[in-house]
Amino acid sequence: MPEAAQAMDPAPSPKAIAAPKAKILIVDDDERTAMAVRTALEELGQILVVAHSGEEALHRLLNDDYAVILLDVNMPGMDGYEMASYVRARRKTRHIPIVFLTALFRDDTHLLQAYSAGAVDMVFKPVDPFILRSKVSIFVDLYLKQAEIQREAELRHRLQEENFRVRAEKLTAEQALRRSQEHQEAMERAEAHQRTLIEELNHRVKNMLTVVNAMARQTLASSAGPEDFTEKFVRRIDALGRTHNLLSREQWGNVQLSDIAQESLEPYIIEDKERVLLDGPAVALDPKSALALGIVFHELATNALKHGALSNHCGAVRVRWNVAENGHVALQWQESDGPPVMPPSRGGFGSRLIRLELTHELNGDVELIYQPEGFKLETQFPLAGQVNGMQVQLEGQSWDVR
Amino acid sequence: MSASVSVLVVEDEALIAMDLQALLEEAGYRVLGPANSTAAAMALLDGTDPDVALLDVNLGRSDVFGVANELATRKTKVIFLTGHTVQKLPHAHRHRPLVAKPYLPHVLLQAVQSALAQPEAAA
Repeated sequence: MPEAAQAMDPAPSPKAIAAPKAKILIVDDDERTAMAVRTALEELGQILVVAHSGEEALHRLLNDDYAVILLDVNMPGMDGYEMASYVRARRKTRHIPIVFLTALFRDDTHLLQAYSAGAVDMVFKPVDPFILRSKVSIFVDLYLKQAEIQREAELRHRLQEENFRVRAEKLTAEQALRRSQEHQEAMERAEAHQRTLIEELNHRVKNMLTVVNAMARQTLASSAGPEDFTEKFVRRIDALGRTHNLLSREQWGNVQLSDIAQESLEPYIIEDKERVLLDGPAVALDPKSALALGIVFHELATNALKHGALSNHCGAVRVRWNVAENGHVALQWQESDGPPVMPPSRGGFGSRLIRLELTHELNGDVELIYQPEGFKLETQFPLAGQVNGMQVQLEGQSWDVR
Repeated sequence: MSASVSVLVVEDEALIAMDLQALLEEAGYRVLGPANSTAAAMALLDGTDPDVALLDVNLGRSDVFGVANELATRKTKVIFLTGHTVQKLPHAHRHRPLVAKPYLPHVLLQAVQSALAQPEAAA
């Protein structure tokens, strides 16, 4: 069905296809007979093709499909029987019905030869137009019905393929959309996380600047002059920086009490490690407690260096801590072999800061004891809620973070 | 400045609390606190209505809004102190004055004065 196939659009509808016509091949070397047959069949409204020899007819059959072949038996050169045998032998033409046109006697031998050559019917010359037309119209109808069935099958097949294709496209599009949505969501989550981190960082920086301002004002209020102020202020900021370094290393998670002591006292014990002894079990502190304790150690060491056990060549400091049964940390700073201890006339900024860090930041108790044999500090503070770094803190409300 | 003007200070950072106390006392105010938590602030407020309350918004892993809500029912003027923006305040408290961290001493003291000058009905 080449015509029908060519008429098909990518998305065909049955009505859009012109009704196909059947081709009828008339093979006769006699022009008069050919014309007579042609005239008889014209009113069938199909396509009539005339060939004047077996060779010409075979040539026609190479290119096109025919509903029926009307074949003259007696032709010069290749006769009707031979031509019929070729038609039957070829796979592409084997199915085409052959009606023999013959003027020969209607004897049995002849009929037998005709049918065995592949004829489905015989028409005798001179041709009766009515008989010929009715016989041929049967084959035409048959052909057209078959063509239509085939066409419908093809159409159904195409529609099915189209349906599959559309469904596959839809599926692909849906998958792409889902991937894009997932990507979008991941981007949004990452952006939200980043915003929270930036907000948190912003808040911390502002808080730290406020602490530095407060440190400057309070240090100034207790300084003897610009040089004294600079020395004290720079050292206090250095101490804050040291604890921050430690917290950065732990990604703002818990840090060990011994590490805070080590870090804060390092500038004072570098010359002679024997003079400052640290002794206590592993105690993990949250960042807020760590920062407070760092300040406390710094103030204690500064004081020891200026007035206490680290101000001469033989004094020593022993820092001991343990965890009590109630979960509180008990810490002791004991100085020995220093110069005679003189209780300060009025609480200086250093000792006020020590007290406030331990009570206000660590919610602890503190006692500063000015014994003749050496200054002593005793404190107890509860372990604050432990954290696992910045991530955990960020999971809560914005106000839940520090 | 009358010594009878009292200011509640809620600030968990020891150094900042110390600084606020010194600034306010130098300016002649009587400081209540400083408190480092909502519980400590509530204890200080038991039976007393301070004239002004200076509230740091972040208190460790908690916030100060419990105290602010309590003070909204009293004549105390509330001032927030924070490194965050005003958008982070709950709606109920967004109209209240806010002093940004890091603060300048004169800005802080001006905020206290302005709060005191507000008519009673402002809360």
